Amino acid sequence: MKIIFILLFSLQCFAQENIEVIYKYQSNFKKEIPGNLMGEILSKSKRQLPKLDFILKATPNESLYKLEEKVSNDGQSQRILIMMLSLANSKGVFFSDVKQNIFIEQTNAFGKLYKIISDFHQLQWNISNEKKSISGYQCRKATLEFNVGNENNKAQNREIIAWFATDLNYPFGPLGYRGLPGLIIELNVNWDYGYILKAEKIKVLDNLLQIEEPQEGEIISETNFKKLSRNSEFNN
Amino acid sequence: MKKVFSIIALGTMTLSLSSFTHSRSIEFRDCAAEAWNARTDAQNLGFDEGTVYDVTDFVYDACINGRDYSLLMLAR
Repeated sequence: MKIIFILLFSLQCFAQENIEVIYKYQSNFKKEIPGNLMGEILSKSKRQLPKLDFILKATPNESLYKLEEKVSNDGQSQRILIMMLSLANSKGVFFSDVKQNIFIEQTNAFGKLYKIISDFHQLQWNISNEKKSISGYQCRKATLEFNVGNENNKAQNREIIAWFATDLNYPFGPLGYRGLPGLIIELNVNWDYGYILKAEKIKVLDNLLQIEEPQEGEIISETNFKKLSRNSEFNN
Repeated sequence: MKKVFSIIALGTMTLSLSSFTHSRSIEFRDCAAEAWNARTDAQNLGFDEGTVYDVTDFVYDACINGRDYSLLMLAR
């Protein structure tokens, strides 16, 4: 009897829990919306994107993050949706594999579907001692800064603030932000037309979760994708 | 990618020519110029190149198909 109890207890300890997290978008614009077409797109995004669910499925080793509903390239409303998602960097599928040190972003860019491959462990987070409680989880703050262009345009600077829960031992988060010692509960992408992605529901699953690596798309390294992106620029 | 490069080239040509021609037909929509303007606005606001491409492509496509993208923005 004692042996059975020990065996059951051990199995419980080694059982890997899987989670499913729903993130919601919230705009965090610091500048006024301009009175041109871009302003109209931003206004529509501000109204429509909070209605969508972004889902992260994760085991302690792998994760997949994407918009819950399927987006096709057909039809005007779908094209507008893709453009709105693009404004929040959310049109792709993000896959992580910690053990293999692989991170994949599958996205439609410059008229083609790509699988952008990079290392899982590469983001240089600055973890601070600042803490706050979000949805009942004690979270710590981490920051990251970068420029999404060629460094010349200051408007392309981004400051990322991630609040992660050390109690939830999953090194994942929305949009491929990853590598922290806990699940990202709230992600703040700070810039003139920034946004927040916040975990609304966290479900712990008993059943085994199958996380599949995205298959379609032309394979390209992150370095070469950045070159491709720079080549498409027509900067002064 | 080629389409957006064509827009850039056409947009540059159109903007150069516009200083010589002031008269514009009401029915005529200069799609390259519209896409070019959207592209410039998106870049100036600080969006990344992927988003800039998506906006440019959307505006050009809506324009050549005779759609008013402002009305499309109001829908749903």
